[in-house]
Amino acid sequence: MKTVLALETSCDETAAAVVRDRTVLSNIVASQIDIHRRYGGVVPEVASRAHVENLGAVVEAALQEAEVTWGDIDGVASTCAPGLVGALMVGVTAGKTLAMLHDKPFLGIHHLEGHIYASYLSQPELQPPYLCLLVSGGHTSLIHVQDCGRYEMLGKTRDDAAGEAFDKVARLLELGYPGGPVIDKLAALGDRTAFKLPEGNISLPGGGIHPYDSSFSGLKTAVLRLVQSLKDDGVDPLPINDLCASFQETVAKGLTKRTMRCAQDYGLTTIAIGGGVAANSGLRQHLAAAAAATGLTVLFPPLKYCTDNAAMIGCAAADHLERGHQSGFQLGTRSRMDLAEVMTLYA
Amino acid sequence: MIGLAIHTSSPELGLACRDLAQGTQRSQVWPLGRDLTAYLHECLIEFLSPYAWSEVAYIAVAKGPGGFTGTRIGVVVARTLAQQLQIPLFGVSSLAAIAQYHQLTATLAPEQLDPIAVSLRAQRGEIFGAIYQAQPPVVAPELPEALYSEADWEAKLNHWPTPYQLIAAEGGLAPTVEGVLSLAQHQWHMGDRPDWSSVLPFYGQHPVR
Repeated sequence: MKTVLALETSCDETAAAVVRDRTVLSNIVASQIDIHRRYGGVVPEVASRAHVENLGAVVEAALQEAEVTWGDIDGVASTCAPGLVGALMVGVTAGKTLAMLHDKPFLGIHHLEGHIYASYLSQPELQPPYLCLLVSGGHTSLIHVQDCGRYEMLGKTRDDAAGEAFDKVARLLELGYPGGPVIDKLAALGDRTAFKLPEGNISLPGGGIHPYDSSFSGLKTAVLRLVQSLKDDGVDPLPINDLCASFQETVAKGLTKRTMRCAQDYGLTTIAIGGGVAANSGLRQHLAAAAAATGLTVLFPPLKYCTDNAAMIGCAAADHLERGHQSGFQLGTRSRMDLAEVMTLYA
Repeated sequence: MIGLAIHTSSPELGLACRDLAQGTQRSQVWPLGRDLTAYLHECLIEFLSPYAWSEVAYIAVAKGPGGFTGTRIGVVVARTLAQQLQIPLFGVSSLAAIAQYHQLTATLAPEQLDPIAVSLRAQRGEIFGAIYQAQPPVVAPELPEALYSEADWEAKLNHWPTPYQLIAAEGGLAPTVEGVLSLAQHQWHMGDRPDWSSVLPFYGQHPVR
């Protein structure tokens, strides 16, 4: 049973956590949302600067809340890919420095593997194989989880991530940043059948559609055209609640359909959901209903483990460390990295 | 006990340390470029030997101006070390370090040197500039560091009332880690004990404009 201090700085959350195996001893997150809101999205250099300012205090708080000393810590882990390179570099540099100073093993962790491990924090008895639907501002993926470090990407978005689509639609409806929570809130007040929007299927060259891949760019454009057309017709005020409800319904239905099909095709009976969009009530309702109808199990981690956090990174690191995996101090950061390459992070 | 200085504001890594009991010091430069994050820690471990981390009394770091990413990496290492070791951290201006290094390596005594004007190219065609009075044991700012347009910096120099020597730094700043150490050592000697949390990179420019 390994105890790990983990750092997460891949985007706009500065986070540190202490995790023992699959148990969270502390989980501290300093969010930068208020800083980035004024720019309408994450500004990479601004994020890097905020990480430098916040990280020391966040690490201190994580160690204090966990009530551990360095003698209790078996390793230090940092998210090293994928993400904003400047932001990742802050966490990786701090993680290596802590490991060097306290003579502990250092592990670089793939951010998506962290999201996969978030499910273990609330469901410690969960064991592979299962299907993970990862939906966030940066990713929309269907991943066949086979074992620690063994993943097969079965489906992905061809353009925007689901969370990115929420942000972009919120921006064009002038609802501010981030878009997910506000669209979810307004959607509850609207008619989800008010407008028919494209589900974002991917056509295959030989005919038919890709069963698991998505596209959200076309959906965003469809909302843009719809809004323009309503304005041209003199509709004022715009039916914002109906637009939000219809958009959310389309995303939730499409993702649910592809996820169920994928699980059934691969004979996987458990589906774990991860990423910030997992908090979306429309997606939760659709997945829960579809799972009940098909006899599959769907696991939703608590919201605090869906959004970016260091506890999920620590959970992944504890498993890797238990198996003897370590990264050297020469490990770098990467903006992109295929999940299938995870094991290249370890010497 | 030793003082340890780190310079990463330009594409090289510069490290310097001073044995506080013996008054001896040494420094080293590594041309790491884009490999800074990959090799910095191994260089630190190698450089610190035979001292132990518990023997570090204070840390000093070049806080900029300079490359955003490089400066940030050095400051993160320095802040983390100082926080964990519970020792003071001195954030030293990269421009002041250039001036101090010039004074340290000049053949003339500080009293015989003209004021030292230091400029460093910034992004978007601007210039960081400052002017320091040469004096023992450390230089003193006469014109605090600030961001200028090329024309404004030129005008500032043209109207400076006394003769000066201009150092137009283009990069290769890592050797001035000796200036960082020297300025921090003076502050340490004067009894300053700044907390790690007070030291942040000096960027001088906002990323969104």
